[in-house]
Amino acid sequence: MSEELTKQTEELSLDSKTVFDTKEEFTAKHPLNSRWTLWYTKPQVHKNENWHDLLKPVITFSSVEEFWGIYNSIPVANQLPLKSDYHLFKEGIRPEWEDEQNSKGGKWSYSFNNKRDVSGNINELWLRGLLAVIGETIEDEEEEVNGIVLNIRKQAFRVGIWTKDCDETKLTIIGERLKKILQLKDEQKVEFMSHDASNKKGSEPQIVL
Amino acid sequence: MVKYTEEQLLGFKEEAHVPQPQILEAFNKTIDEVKEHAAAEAERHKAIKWNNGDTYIDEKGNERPYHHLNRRRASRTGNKPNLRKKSVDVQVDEDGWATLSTKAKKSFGAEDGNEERSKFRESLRDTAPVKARPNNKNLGSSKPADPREVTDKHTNAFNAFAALGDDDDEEDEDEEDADDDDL
Repeated sequence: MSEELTKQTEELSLDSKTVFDTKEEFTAKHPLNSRWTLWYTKPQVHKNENWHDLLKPVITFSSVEEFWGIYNSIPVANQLPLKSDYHLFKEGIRPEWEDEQNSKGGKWSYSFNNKRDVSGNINELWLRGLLAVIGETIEDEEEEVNGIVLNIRKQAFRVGIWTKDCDETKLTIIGERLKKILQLKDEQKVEFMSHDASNKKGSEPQIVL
Repeated sequence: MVKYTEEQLLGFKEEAHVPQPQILEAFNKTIDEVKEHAAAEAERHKAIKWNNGDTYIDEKGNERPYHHLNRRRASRTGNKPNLRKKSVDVQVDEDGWATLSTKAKKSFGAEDGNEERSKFRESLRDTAPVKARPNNKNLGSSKPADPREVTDKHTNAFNAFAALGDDDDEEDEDEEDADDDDL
């Protein structure tokens, strides 16, 4: 009997894992509601590189502490090379409109066209955007936001929030919150456009706030 | 649903933990490579645009091009004037005569006041009809000339030589001299 018990105990200790077994899990004190993947679009260096070569997932995380570890280790927004993009999307969703989760949705966006004025501030604004998305305070209970994107271009910094669908009632709250996060004035308008419309020439935004 | 406000998330900043440092190192290396490539491209572009290979070393030891001394004519790089002949309109009439139609060159301000001018002309036409009186004397005619009109008539013409010998001038000079003495 005692031999059997000892054997069973040994088996138990071999199979079960606790947060103390690995360093990663031990430090994961504050889990996020979703797992998030950071993607990066590299500017084209060689002519034979296509879109799929340039867009790559960097790392996935699921806790607040991991987020800060990653954020502190990568270049801030205004240190990225031109034609680069950061994308932070829920795990399993590619930052492409063709992805099943994105195809029926669209994006809220704002372009900071005067780069000189905003270059000292863009790091803070981008961080505020990231925090609102991973903390999921950019929406209530809708589960509408798929990710956030930063485009570094010659003429502008552009921030976009990608959504799952185009339901105007849900989108308005997100648009208003994005405006607050980016500290925009009343006359600085955020625009929503569905991915379908974005692919058609001359399309106008569906919602402007 | 677990939610964190911005303030709550900022509060955990000091407890940062890097999950897979080797991945982030590789990522940073990629970005450095991209930056180096972009800088090299920018330098190459600059060299193509500005440098003709002729340089000097300035007082701080930097290599500088002479391009500020080698300015080229604007016509070399900018828009060159179009010196080709423009096609001209030639109108051929019924008899086969060709006429070169050239557009009248407009002077500066030529179009100004056209309306006023036409109004003025119209007003004159309405109010004061002017009868034209041709001066028959100046018109060529096949009639024989009237001999009375052809004869020389006495005219008072100014003779410069006669004027030089006039005594009045001398008197005037004497008067002027007298005035000078008074002074």
